[in-house]
Amino acid sequence: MKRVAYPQMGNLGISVKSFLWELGAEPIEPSPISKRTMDLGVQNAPEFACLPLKVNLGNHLESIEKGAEYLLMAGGIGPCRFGYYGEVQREILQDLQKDAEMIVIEPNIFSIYWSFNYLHGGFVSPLRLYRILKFAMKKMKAIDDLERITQYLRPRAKKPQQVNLRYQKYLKLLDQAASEDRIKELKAEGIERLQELNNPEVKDVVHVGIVGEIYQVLEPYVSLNIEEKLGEMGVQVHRELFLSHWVMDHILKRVDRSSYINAATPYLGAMIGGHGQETVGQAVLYAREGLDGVIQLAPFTCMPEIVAESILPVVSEREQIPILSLFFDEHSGEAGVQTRIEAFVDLIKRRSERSVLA
Amino acid sequence: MGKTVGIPRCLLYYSYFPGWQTFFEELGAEVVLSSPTNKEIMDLGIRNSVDEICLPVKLFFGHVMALKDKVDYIFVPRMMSVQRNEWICPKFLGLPDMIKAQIRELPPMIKPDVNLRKSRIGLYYAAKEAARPFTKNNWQIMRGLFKAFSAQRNFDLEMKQGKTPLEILELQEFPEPEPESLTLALLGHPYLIYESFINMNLISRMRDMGVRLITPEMMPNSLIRKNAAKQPKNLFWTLNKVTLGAANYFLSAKTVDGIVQLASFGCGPDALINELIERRARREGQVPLLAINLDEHTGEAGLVTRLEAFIDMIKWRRVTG
Ligand code: SF4
Ligand code: SF4
Repeated sequence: MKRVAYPQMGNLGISVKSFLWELGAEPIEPSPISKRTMDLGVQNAPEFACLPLKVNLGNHLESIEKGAEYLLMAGGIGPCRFGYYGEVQREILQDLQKDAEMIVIEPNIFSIYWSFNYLHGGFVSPLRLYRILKFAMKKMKAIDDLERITQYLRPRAKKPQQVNLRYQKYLKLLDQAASEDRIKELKAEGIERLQELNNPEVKDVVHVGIVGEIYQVLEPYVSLNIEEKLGEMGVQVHRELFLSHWVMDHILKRVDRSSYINAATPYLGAMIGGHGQETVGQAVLYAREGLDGVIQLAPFTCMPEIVAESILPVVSEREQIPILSLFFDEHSGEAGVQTRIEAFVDLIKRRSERSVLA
Repeated sequence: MGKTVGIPRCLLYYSYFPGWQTFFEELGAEVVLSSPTNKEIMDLGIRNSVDEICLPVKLFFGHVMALKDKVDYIFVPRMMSVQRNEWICPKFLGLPDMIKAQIRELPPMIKPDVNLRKSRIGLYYAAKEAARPFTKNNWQIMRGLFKAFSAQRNFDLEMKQGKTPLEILELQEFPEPEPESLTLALLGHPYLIYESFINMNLISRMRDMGVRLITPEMMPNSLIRKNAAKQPKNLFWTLNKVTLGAANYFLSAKTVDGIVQLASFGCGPDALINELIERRARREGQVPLLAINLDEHTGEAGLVTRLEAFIDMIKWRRVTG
């Protein structure tokens, strides 16, 4: 069995892990991102590379210590940097004399199919592959559903911490779930147990949309648990960016992008790579849906998000919605982020009170 | 008197100005350039763009600010792709939108989408869009495009013969290198290596030192492409592919005494690709490489010292080698 590692990004690992098992490879789980992961990545990566590249590299190095022989990465054809992460990381690892092999899955059906056969170490029939993928996708969807409820409940529970704990508990259970029935069962149970924490007396919830670069949005470690922090401040977080949504959109091409593209076009008339156009379009849509504010999350030096950042002030002005752009790097500190979001939440709370009075 | 079109003297000005100028003049417009980058333009750019953005785009903002009250139209093309299956950079993709969002009281922008990613026909659509304020006459547009092509081809040929855009577009003159002089390759985005204000007159400085300089624009395209293909995965950024191809060539052919490589602070593609080049140079250890990262605070003294030390080191290697 091939010992295969993959980088950490939010809950992606749970689905990848079950996918690899089913495929007949041995998944090497990345150690949870820690200060050490970051340090390893930062020391060995180019100084001005974007944060995800650095953290992924840290993951790879730690996984190699745990015996990984193969490293799984996704590829791309530009214009953003992500498509070249694998190349750069491979050369860095080569210079460090690590002999793990990098498997880069390019976004086309041949590469995907070839990589899966390679991981399996032989021929996998398309039908079997379909079943394996479907199962992993089920898990991913169940997790995303639970996360959405968590976002709803954090500002509405007596103790937001309890919501997080229960959510984590069901993540663990889903991680172990071995059949579709079990996934279904856990999902229903999880939803129920989470909803028990709803406190109907809470009324003054404010609504904030999260937009930005996918890694920064989905990986709580690098965004310093911003969603939990917002939840504790009485904010219900909204976002479109979920793993299952990403897979549906980019791999299965089943998402109709026209709504956000139309919304973005007067402000940003082209696809610019990464999630730049989504960021702008979604901010516009959130404003029109009547949310109270939007927060953009992005890694420092992220190209598409810098373009979006340049444009968001006009969106904010014309669509009448406060927008906060937060850029993160390895030096971003809890305190700084906490103050900035507190100030932002204060602002939108005062604003929404005003509109209620008016 | 025709209407005036302002062209910012930065970014792809160094690559495509002769073509652009000819095209607009053929349509009866008068082309107005901003002055070469200076402190004032740089400060305007820094003040009018977001902090995080790369220096060359900041300069673009500055040039637009400097031009905007002097012209009837301003030319801000969306340069998406100039080669099949390649891109320039996400920031070029969003350039007109960023300008529109950040700068008030702009004259109307001429902002064609230049997208040759799928096919060259994209250029025709771009020309049609760029010509809109002046003419709808297809024949005139085609003629303009044709003349622009030939102006551009002449410019490219002159560069292939060893001239830099500084000599061709800015009419600067440099002393002829001596026969025994050092040969250095100068690599980086054209808007860094030919942007004298930002790189502290690097080219004239080196030429004054008697160095013979080779830039990627002087090399045959096929050579560059062939050498860029040594990287296992095809690179999808046109400008960085040129740098990578040139670097790969010099690192293996060893036809130069050293490589000077410029990167701009905040440049996404440079951060990755220049790293690959530096690693390769270090691994092979044959051709010395000086990597310079330019930002708005780059000090002249520091840069000169590093350059002189680099050249001394090469001369010393020559003697002892
Ligand atoms: S989207 Fe941003 S963070 Fe992601 S690869 Fe591109 S530049 Fe880097
Ligand atoms: S290639 Fe680099 S320097 Fe040029 S616009 Fe993009 S980020 Fe800026």
